[in-house]
This record gives sequence, C-alpha cells and structure tokens, in this order.
Amino acid sequence: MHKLYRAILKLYPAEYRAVFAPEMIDVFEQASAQSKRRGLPGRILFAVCECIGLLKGALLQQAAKWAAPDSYITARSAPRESTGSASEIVELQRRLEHLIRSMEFAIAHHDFPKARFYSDQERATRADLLKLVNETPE
Amino acid sequence: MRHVVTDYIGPSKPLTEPVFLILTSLANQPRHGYALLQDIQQMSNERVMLSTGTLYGALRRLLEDGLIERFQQEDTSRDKQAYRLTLEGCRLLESEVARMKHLVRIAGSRMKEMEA
Repeated sequence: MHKLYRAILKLYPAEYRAVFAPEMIDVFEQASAQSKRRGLPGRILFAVCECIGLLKGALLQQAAKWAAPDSYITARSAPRESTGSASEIVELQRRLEHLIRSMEFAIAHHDFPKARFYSDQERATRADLLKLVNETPE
Repeated sequence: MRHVVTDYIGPSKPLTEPVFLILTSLANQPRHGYALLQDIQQMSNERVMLSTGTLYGALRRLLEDGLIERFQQEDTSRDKQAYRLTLEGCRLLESEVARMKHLVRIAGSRMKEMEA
C-alpha cells in the first residue's frame, strides 16, 4: 500500500510534491497505522478511500496548475524555515499592527469578545516576533 | 420608501464541507495534518473521513488564498509544521457561520409556519 501511495503521488505536479509530499506520506503512515485497529474491513475501506482521494487530488492539482501556472505554488505554501528572515519579521510586524487596529476598533464598538480574541492573537504574534528576532543572525 | 435590513453579508460562494471543517478545526488552535484528520472525523461523528489527497489539496488552496498559514511550533521539525487561521481565515469562517445561522433561522421559522 505504501509503494502504491508513493506511485500515485508521482502523478501530482512536481512543485506540489516538493512542498507537500513528505508531510502527506507522514500523515498517510499515521492514518494507515490507525486503520489497522479497525480490522480488515476498516483497512480495505481506508485503502480504497485513500487511492480514490489521491487520484482525484492528482487530477485536480494538475488542472489547477494548468489553469494558473504562475500562481499555483507560491511562497505562501512553502514550509517556513526555522531561522528568521527579514521578510518574515516585516510580515509579523504588519500582522501585529493590523491586530492592534482591529482590537481598538472592537473596543470602540463595545465588541469585547472580539477584542479579547484580537488581544490573544496579538500576544501570540508578539511572542512569535520576539522569537524570530532573537533567532535571526546578526 | 422601503428599507431592506439584513444582518448577513456573506462570501459570494458557500464553502465546501471539507474547507469549512478544516477552518473550524483550526479555529481554536493550530493543528498538524494528522491532528486535522482526527479532529474532523470526531467533529462530524465519523461521517466525514478526509483522504490525505483531499486534505492537502484543500490546504494548498487555503494557504495560497491566505486563509491559513504555516506555524512553527517548538520541538517540531520543518516537515511537521502546524497550520493556523489567518485574520482573513477567521473573517471568512465568521461570515460562513453567519450565513448558516441565517439559513437555519429561516428554516426554523418556516417549519413553525408549517406546523401552525
């Protein structure tokens, strides 16, 4: 089953495989181990669903790439590097400013649940930013 | 003059069920791919079991649309990054929930009319 999975994965566009294939194989292996606990019918159902889903996915991804070859896979989909970069810091700073503005707007309109949500997001983003700045080599 | 008042302004197209479930699953915390599969299965009472092909197809689209983003958690490798909602993703989910509530309200009131 694992060999078949990897074989069908080759039908996906190369850019897609480069970004998602390691993660997909990892998730497939975990789900496959889980399906073994459901007995033979559960394993067969899992294998059939995975094959159909993967084949359908390959077809849809090839179509998506054909429809928009330039914007099919951009930096947004790529896994983040563990070390910080200037563009990521700028992105986080922009996000932080946006969150603060949204929080102020929510407070001004007495929407306190939303204000609390933005406040939590702001705190998490600030922590991410601090971590990124500390990780960035001088 | 007649005024039409509405409290729902939604996206032009309703979300598909897998996309709605993925966004809902990420609403309270970031999750990895396998955690997403398990949570979606649990949320739907085992009715929806996404294949990895369907899950990652939807994740690619959501990443490219800026509705979710990758999130590096501590003690995880580069290949085990989690996903979380962006602000745009939160807004889209809120808007979809408002659309659904609106429809449920209409369905409820019409069913009451039918019973009366």
